[in-house]
Amino acid sequence: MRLADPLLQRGVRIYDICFWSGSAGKPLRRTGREVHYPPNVDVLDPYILLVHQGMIEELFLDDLAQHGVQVARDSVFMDYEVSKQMPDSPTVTATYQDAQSGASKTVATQFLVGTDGAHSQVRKSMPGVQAVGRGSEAIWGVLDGVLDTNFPDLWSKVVIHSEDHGSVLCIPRERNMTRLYIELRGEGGEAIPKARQTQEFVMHRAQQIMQPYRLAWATVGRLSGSLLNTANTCDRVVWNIQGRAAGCFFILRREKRGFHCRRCMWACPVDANLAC
Amino acid sequence: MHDSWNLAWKLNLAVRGLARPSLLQTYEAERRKIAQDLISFDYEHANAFAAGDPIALAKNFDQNVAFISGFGVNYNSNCLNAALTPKDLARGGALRPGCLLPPAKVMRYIDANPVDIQLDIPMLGQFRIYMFVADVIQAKPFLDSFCGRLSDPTSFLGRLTTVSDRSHTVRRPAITEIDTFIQPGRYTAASSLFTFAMVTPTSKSAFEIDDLPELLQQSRWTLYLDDCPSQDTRGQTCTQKWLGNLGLDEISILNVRPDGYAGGMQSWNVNDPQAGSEAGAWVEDYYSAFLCDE
Repeated sequence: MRLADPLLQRGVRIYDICFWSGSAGKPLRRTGREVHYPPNVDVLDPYILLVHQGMIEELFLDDLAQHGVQVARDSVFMDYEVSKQMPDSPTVTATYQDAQSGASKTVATQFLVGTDGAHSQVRKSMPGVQAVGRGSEAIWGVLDGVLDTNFPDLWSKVVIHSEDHGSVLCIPRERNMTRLYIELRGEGGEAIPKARQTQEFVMHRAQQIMQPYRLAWATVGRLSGSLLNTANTCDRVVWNIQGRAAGCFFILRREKRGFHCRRCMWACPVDANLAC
Repeated sequence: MHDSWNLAWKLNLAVRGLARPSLLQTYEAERRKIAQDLISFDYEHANAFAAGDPIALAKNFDQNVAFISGFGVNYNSNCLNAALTPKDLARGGALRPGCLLPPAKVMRYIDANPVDIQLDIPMLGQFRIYMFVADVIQAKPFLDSFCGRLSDPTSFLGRLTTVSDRSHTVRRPAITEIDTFIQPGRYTAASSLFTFAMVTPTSKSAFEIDDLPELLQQSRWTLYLDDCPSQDTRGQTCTQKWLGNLGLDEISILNVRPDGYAGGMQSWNVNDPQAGSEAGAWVEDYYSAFLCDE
């Protein structure tokens, strides 16, 4: 698709992964260092390329705009109906609440695509369709920021485990930033009350896990302190893709500021992904 | 992102009236499997991570590193991903239907550019049909017969091309500034639905583009010389890496899906006078399982 170049210029490339662990008896130490994508995986670019999700979305939005396709946001999907007047080519009529006027509007389309996330309103509108399974109870704090630290492996992907305080996943980011995923567990392994899930708490927990290394934030990114688990909720909106894609109507998910799915932890090397 | 990638080209063909219902059905089968694989991996990985078990973590990581990279996200056999014959499997190549194409370097005949063959053809929603030809001169009768059948407007592929070309005049892809540099027309001169390509170790001095069948003359930007193994990640030619040992009198045909996944591959002996039409029928069988021309 020839879209990868701006990401390659701005992203951070990660080639290795380090493992650290510590307990009351044994201070935090490096237990291993590995090539992230060893040569048995035959790829041209054996690294993780990390860029902010917003940059990737912007790339797609710009490319769509160049192709004459505008994305309209913030209208709320309500319901749909399938007309079977012409059995060979059924028409879908979707109803949504228009963002500007607040009025209920409809759009007729050949295909309706519901991509509105785990709490999909499109799915709820489909007769006889139910979500199976449940979200995980594990809670992780996510912090982006420029770190002031003497931890030596800051520019590798690092898995840090402290027996007493939990785990941290440390991932280099663009603009000199580091992303920390911080496990939040209570003293006896029980869930931490919502009221205590503050940015200060998350930062303090990261400092505990990374002792005896110094850990401070020179700047904290816009996404600071967001909490995630797989049951995270998000708003549902209609992104009306107009123009040449007419014939398909996509219901997309609006992400809360700071919402990230767990999958972001496993970014792809570029040649398997965007460069193609 | 790969959910969208998988769905987009299928939806495009459906909107253009080229898809049988079986095509859209492959979306759920293919992506549901990956979602389940991801949940299982994530669950095990997060548990090993939270338990601070470096050995379990490293083992889990090692087993799944291709999957994590995105390169090892593989689809099962279905109407798009035809299993290899035992004979083709025994050649020892790395290419598998339902998998992405491994990286390989070839030299483009027309401008002597070394290129990454798995990325060279721009993704325009079209399929790719590669012909791996051990000896272009010896394979001429095969190529004449095979290409003649594929470009005949009354054949199945010819009729699909007619429907697709007509649809592209109505639902015309927007032309953007970058297209004046990429020149997508180079890859769709023979058909808006298929890019045809040839990969051969025959030396450049042994044949001219004008010696080839009309279909391959129209495909002059996708004729590749398989002569730069030193630039490959593993020092192999494309044919060796993808297919394995291909005999001097053999020819392989490879279908690649619009999303860059291998679809199906089979080989024939060029000395068999029926081979060209048999290969043509095989290609038609493959596409008729999920495309329709009415």
